Amino acid sequence: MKLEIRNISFSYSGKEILSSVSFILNSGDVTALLGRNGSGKTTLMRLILGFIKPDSGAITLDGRDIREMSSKDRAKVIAYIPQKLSDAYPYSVFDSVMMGRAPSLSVFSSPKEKDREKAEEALALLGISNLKDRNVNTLSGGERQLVLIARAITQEASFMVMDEPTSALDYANALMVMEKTEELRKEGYGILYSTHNPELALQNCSSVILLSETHSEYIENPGMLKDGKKLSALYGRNLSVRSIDTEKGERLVCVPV
Amino acid sequence: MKLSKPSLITTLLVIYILVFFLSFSTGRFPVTPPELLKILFSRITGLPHDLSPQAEAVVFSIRLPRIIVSSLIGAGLSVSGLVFQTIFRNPMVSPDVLGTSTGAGFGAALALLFALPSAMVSVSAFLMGLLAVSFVYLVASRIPSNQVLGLVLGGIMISSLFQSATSFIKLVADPEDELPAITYFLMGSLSGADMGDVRLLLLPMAISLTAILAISWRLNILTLSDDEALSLGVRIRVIRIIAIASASLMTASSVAVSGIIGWVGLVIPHFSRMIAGPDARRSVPASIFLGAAFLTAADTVSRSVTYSEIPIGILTSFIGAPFFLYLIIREGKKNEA
Repeated sequence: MKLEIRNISFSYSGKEILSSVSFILNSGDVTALLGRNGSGKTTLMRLILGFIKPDSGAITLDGRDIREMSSKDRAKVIAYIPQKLSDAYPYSVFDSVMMGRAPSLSVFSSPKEKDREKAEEALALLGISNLKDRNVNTLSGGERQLVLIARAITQEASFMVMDEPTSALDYANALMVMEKTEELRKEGYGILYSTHNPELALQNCSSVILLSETHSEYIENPGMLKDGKKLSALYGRNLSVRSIDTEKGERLVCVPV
Repeated sequence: MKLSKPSLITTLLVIYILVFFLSFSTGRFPVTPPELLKILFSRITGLPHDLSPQAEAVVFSIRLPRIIVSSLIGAGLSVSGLVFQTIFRNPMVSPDVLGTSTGAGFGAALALLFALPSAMVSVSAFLMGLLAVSFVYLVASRIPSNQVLGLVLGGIMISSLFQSATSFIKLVADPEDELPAITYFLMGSLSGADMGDVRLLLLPMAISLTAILAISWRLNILTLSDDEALSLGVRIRVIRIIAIASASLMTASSVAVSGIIGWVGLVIPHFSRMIAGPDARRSVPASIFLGAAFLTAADTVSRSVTYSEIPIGILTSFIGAPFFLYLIIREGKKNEA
């Protein structure tokens, strides 16, 4: 499947937040969204999810405008993974994951056996079946993030939009979530995630979008950021990208200079 | 020990049935369970029974309608409290806090002032209750950064506004007959409940409870953030409208029949979630049986401890307020641990 963002612009109370942003996300792509606070990352994700309407331009799914789709149909294709799990009501992990079946059920129905199986499969795919009966409030940050991802898998959407999936996590959990993301990519999911950590973008994605207050740029391959110029310009700091050889091949890291 | 799904709800149903029989056998003219079953059996089959006509009169004209009314109102207030707590994502709100009860009370008082028929008292109570909750919702939506504050403060403000309006009605009411009727009515009492009240309550309660049970799984999703619910394809507005309308209908028809009976809509849903968990598919049925059992038990006490009856609204406050404080402290300690 192909999710195409074509020339979209968006302003809020007279202030332009996004202007002519374009890129394509295919199934099996992981795209990182980099930008400083207030650069419009969240707005871009909300536009893609169909929560808000662009002033101009279009977002299409295999050629079909997402604004013409019902919210249910959209939810069957694009899933949203918020920064944090809502924990006002302490549901069990299984009940939380099962909420992903909502787009496939009518208003007055509740999940059936088949829906329960989908939730079980999602938990198994992420290797967290053992957490099934736990109260979500007793989980670690990383486990909570996996619950949200399991919910998105249960939703059976081909694309996942992740709002800073690692920002609330410790280093080990952040690495773990990124590894799961890579596994999902191999399963054929198309993933767009925002992050404040440029190293994640250098190491864990197939393409990058740089978003600043004035313009946006689509970088086809994170290797194109090697000279550090674009990242330095984006963050307004002198940054250098270094290559390190590891057992798993070349790794790029970003250091201030 | 955590009970499994059917057994918890079944246990609550059994508790309710016990309270039901206990209530019949309490009072100045006790009707024991075998007597009650005989009378009910003879009414259904048309066969004669060997009990006194007074016993039959007590059952059908006094106790049965009163117990049905207390059960329906108990269930209705509890479920509407649960619904409000769910859609406002706040376990501390209730029909009282949100001004629905006060609004409905004003509507009922207004209708009583003009000596309107009892069906119109319900309609007026419903409309004013809905108006009150809409106002509060509007206030809260204007304060997106702190909706809980908006809900609670908005609720207090709207409540006091409607209370003043009710005071004004009392001021202009005829002190000979209308004023005592309005005052006693607003105190919250089930004395004088009859089959007419049962008929008045049955339809709105049946419709609302069915609607809430039908959307109970979606209600769970509304406890997530709006963006999450939207991304799951849930039509938030539709579910919210069904939920608020049903909850307001239950609160208002309760107020129209019994006056304002506070605390039930706050304490029972809280307690239901404590024992049944956050899933509305379980906490809604739990609230129905617990609410019905609680209010029937409270009403039995209110009509039997003293010679002249204590209005039940006074009693539920005496029970509810301390119990709620206990709940808050208990929850607070749990979160700390």
